[in-house]
Amino acid sequence: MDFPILSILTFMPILLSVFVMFARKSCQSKITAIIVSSANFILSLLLLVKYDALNTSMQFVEFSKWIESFNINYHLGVDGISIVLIVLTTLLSLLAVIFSDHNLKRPRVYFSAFLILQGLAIGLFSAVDMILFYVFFEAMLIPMFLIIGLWGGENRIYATFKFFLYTLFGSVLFLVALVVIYMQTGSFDLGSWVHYSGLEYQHWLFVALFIAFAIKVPMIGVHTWLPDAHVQAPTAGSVMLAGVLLKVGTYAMLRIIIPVLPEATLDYATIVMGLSAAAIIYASFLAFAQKDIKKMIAYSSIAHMGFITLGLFSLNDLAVEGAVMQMINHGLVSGGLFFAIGVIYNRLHTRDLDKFGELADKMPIYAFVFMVLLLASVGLPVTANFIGEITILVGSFVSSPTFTIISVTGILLGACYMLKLYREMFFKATSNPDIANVKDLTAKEILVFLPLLILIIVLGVQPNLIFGIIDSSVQQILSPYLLQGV
Amino acid sequence: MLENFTALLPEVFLAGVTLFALVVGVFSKPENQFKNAQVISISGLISVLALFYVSVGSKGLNPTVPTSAEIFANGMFFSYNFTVIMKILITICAIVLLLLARPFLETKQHLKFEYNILFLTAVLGAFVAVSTLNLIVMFIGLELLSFSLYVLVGFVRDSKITVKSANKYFIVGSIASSLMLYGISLVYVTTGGVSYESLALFIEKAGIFNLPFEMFLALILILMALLFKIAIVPLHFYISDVLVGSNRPVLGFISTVSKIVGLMVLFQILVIILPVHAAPIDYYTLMLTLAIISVFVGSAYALRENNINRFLAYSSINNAGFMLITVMVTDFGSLLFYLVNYCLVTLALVSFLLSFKVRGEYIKTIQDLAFITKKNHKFALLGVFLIFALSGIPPFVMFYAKLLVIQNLVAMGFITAAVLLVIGSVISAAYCLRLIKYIYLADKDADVSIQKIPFAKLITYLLFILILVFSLLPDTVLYIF
Repeated sequence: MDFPILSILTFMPILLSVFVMFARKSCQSKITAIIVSSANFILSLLLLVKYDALNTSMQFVEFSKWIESFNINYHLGVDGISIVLIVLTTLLSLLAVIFSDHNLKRPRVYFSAFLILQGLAIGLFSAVDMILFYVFFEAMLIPMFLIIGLWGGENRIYATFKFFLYTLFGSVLFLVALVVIYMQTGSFDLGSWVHYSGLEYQHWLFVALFIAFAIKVPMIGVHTWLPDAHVQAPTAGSVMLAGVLLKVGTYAMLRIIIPVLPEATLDYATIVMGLSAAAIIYASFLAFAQKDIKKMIAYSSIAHMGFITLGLFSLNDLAVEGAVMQMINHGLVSGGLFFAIGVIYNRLHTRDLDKFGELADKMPIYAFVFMVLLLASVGLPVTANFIGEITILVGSFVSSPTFTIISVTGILLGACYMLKLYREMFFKATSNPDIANVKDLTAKEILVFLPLLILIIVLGVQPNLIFGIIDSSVQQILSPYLLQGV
Repeated sequence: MLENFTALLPEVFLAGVTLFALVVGVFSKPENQFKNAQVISISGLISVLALFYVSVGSKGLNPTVPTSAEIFANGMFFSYNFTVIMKILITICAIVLLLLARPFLETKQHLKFEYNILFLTAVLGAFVAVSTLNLIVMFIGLELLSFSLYVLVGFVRDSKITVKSANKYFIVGSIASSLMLYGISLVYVTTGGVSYESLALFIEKAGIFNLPFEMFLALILILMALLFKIAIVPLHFYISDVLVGSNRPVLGFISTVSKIVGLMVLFQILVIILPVHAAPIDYYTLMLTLAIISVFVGSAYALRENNINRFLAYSSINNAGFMLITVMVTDFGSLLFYLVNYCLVTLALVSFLLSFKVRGEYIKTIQDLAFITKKNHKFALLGVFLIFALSGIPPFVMFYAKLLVIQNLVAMGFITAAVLLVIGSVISAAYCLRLIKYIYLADKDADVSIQKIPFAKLITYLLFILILVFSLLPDTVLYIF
């Protein structure tokens, strides 16, 4: 493949963000950002079309020497798992840019930050060289730091510091682990790591890498940055955080920990599944207790990510494919829910559950959209989440029945707090005078929600659209485990 | 002897330029004094740079002990690629800082031409110190550098604190010098010579594990004096008190050139007297402990510091820890890489801080940085990137420098030390974030007069572009030098 499509996907938004930065009017910067994002979205669809799902090796590979004295190469390539996440990234960032208003402070910096974030995320999903991966992994913190820190709520600086330092702490451990693996394998290339057998210090490496990625996911114990970051971030920032940044953690687990450290993974898989089950239950209870609707969705995010890690560390193809499916679904549904909260926050300027009520009368379209997203989040059949969760649970039951049974109760708890949220927002009688004048969704907002809803239903009815793409890649990653008959 | 004179040419030329600038300065009209002296100084430094480039030629980077063809006058002076590369770096730092000094002194109403002369003598001292294999000549070079700096720190005497800083620097620096001199005299007593080589021979003969007490003491004293110059904990205490009162171009000079000289001299002594594989484990323990403590202490101080000069001093202590490790493992490539990037980022930050005046004063406290955003938020954003670059967040080039350090450590088996070091760098990211909070995130609505200094701004932009280029292609750093 001569056409460097991955480099274009990665660097076009980053380079063109300069134009956004120096646009004469703020609305011009928004329009430029929309054009660049849509171009990138179309390009990523092209990637999807051209992808050969039966070929298990990396595709669209680009390789050139980059830093020779460090033995670091510019090596990009994608398999099925990366491709679906890249498409998710381009879609969500396009919607995030469309949704954002250009009447905020420093609009040019805002839209460039989103474009740069998008480019870096795509670069991360397609990096094969691990230092390149690490560079994208950390560089993503900078635009997100600015997005939360500049356009966030009243407590934004605290939240963005917490977000940055937590993630940085994890990623420096990641760096040391990278260097330790490099010293043994003599290369930073993921391909050679996977084929290198007999890696030493596997258990220590597992701990370092797992802490790094668990912070990003976030798993229980290191999750406290997420509610703060989500609550303080602007709507579009929350969408990118939930839809893209959290996926980085699970993606890296699937891409690095599972294939490179098979022995340690087998030893620790049960513990990780236990942590995931604990996260599901704990986060669900926390979500139930929240008065701030954004915090509630943030905690439900932690619970859903718990399902994904549960599936990943079941280490059988069914559960892992379910986990990848669930990564996509969580991006669509949480993204949609954060948009929905943004819509109501823009109108009423509050996120307090007590201040809402009777919205079903005033905003029928909004009520419908919210209902679909909520049912998907709960995992009702016909929505994509049902497929994802059921495959994860069926797969993980084989590996650990106990933790699967515990996790299933999480679905029930999810239904409890979500339906409570819906009742309080839409049906409860309210004394808030602002609600009487509230307007229903605008055309722009419907445009943002429509693709999400369509995808949720289509993937729920026809999940093979995803499974067909990721199947061979998942088999490839799990091949050391499947041979051992785990 | 005479045919090797070309290698000495840059230093002799620089000495000549210094004297010439002094004469021209004295005989110029008062209003032209500074301008003439500066033009001569800068063009002199640029010519020196050209001479160095010619002498480096195509020899390449070979981290070995110099061959006999490159040593003159019994090792009193020598010239091989290592030192020439470091001297190029020193010259570039000096040129940038001298360029920045003019608008600074102009606004301070303190355009005295001696500033240039002192800069040149400091550079000459630095040259002499790094290009010798003789302890006495090294001492002379260091003294020439230090004495010029004592005067330069107190050059713009517009506050009590400046005088205090200069005095403190002089007194503490003299103590360090006398320690070193005492160490050298002990070396002379035990070995009968003062060259690095006689030191190395003696150590080899006695065996590194059973040195006589005088020799042990001598080595410790010399090491202490050099660590003092680099500002490694526990010899760091002076640096923040000195930098807080010094003018900013000199602040840049002390935190770049002084460090280069200290590290380079230490590096040369270690390379010659201490073949890496023969080094006792105590030596690694000592150096690593000092380096890691420096990283932590520097970060911990900087976390709560509000004065920008002190902040930069603590950040330089933090970075010195990293650089000490590259010296410890005697890896010239990573030392050079770290130094180039560290100098670049430090110079860019200094010129960033010199490009604004709030209420007619250069910005002193971190809180005042918030005014920059109000005036020009895109320039403030550039400051944000500079600070991210300082803290070693990828994609900025300092990250690769830190990566090299960690690679060195892991390759030698010090994995715990590597983990401690990266945890220290998270703390250093925390203080950098605090700076960013004031530069870019905090809103400050007070109405104050803000003055721009276009020339310093231009230099900031240029240095930032250089940082970006190096960040995208880190290899170029090693090619250029």
